[in-house]
Amino acid sequence: MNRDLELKLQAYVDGELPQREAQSLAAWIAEDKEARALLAELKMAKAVLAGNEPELSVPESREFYWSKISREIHRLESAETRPGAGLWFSWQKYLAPLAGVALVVLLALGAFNIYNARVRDNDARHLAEIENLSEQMGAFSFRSSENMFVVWVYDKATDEAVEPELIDDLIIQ
Amino acid sequence: MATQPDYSSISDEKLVRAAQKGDMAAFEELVARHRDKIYARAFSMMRSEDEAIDLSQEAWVKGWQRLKQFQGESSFVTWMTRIVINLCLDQLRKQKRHRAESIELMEEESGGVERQMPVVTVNPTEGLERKELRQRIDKALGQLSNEHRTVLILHEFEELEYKEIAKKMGCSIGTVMSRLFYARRRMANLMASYKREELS
Amino acid sequence: MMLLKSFSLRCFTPFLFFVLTGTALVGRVEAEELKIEAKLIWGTDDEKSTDPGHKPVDEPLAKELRKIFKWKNYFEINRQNGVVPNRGSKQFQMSKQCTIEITELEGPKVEVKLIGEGKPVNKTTKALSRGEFFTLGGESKNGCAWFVVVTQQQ
Repeated sequence: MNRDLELKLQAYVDGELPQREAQSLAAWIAEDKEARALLAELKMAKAVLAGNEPELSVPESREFYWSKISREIHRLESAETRPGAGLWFSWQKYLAPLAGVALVVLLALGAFNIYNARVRDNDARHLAEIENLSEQMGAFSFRSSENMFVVWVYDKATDEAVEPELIDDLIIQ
Repeated sequence: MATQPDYSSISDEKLVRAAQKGDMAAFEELVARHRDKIYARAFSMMRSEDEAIDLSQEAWVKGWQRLKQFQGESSFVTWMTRIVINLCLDQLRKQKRHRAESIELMEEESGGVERQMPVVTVNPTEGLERKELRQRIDKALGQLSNEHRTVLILHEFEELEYKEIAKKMGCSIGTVMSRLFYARRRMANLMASYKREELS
Repeated sequence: MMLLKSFSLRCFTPFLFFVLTGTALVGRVEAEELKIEAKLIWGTDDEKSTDPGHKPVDEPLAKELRKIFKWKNYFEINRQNGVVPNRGSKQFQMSKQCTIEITELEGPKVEVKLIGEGKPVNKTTKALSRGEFFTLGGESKNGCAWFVVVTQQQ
């Protein structure tokens, strides 16, 4: 059986052959044992896969996974809405090493804890102040559960998502 | 303070409408609901946990940015799946530029190797529980080249036609057909070999 | 910031990865001593640490970390214990490159400062609540992660 016939058999299985061609192929299949065997294998492979895509779970907690998405969305939206900020922040960058300016991040955890209604009853306890003391490092935070609050520290220079001019450390929510 | 609605009981359609109006919490619920499926698709294509996490998250960010374009012609998860597939295809193309063509791909293109594969006459998956079947399928997918795996995923799991796959992969319909043929025959033979290992 | 140069492990990283967990004591808003335990932990998908002296962390802690982060295995590299005095500070040297300084503040609050190669990196201040943990973390370039897990001892 040549390659062309093999591929036509496959197209026949997939319903991709024009009707007339499918009919003449069906007639040939009925007469050819080798074709029937290959057809059966192709049909079997198709049937085995149908509806059996491997099911996998994200190997990170819901909160951690979402926090990176949320951070990137906010970063992109901040970049769109603050065209002048880049200039001011890049100017400030030159002062920072001399002044030892700390960048302060205040995070209202209610914004991250949108799915946990209980937490909102006492938001004050979830407020955290994060101060980046290094120009190189940034941080964001999220709450993983009622009792776990996470501050994630990253190197801005190697984080492709972060433009050095934009200081997304200043996040007041 | 206003009570947060219980998003877990709200339908996808309503969540999408809320998210389209800027409700980030509604979007977060959509992410939580469908993240495994989007991640699984990315992992099936990329075979790397880290890449799958990165690309699936990138897909969600793009989903948020393009949400107003979603009109509901398909389900939300189908729409998101297409976004992550396109991101994976882009990534695979970038990797291909820096990678030598796989031996498997060269063999398939020469049309010789699958002729040496015996025709599998007995279904090697009969009697398997679904979970185990899926695990074997995942294992076998991992043994295909990127190109063969991609065409199989797009045809068998995404149910795209040959011409749609050709457009997405930037190749001819003939190439799609050849790759699909090879991939199917290889999958059948791999599943048969797993069965033999189990019995031995 | 090269916090972990002293480690011969291949997952040397310019990032610092700390997990800080603290359980608050119940009660009145007044000064109190804090008994602290800090563990330096390596997160990896490798089955074993390159250093046979590194033991896997206890399963409850590993399970908590796995719930959040993708790494499969966690090995304890170092452990430090100490008492943070009322309204005072104490440093815990986790490695040659990495120190944390914990300060007990009014509130009660705890301030945790991360210091790498002698330079301050990050400072977190947070109110304490009963049973609460708070976490400071980062990721390694090589796909691994380093943690400092701080727990308040009873």
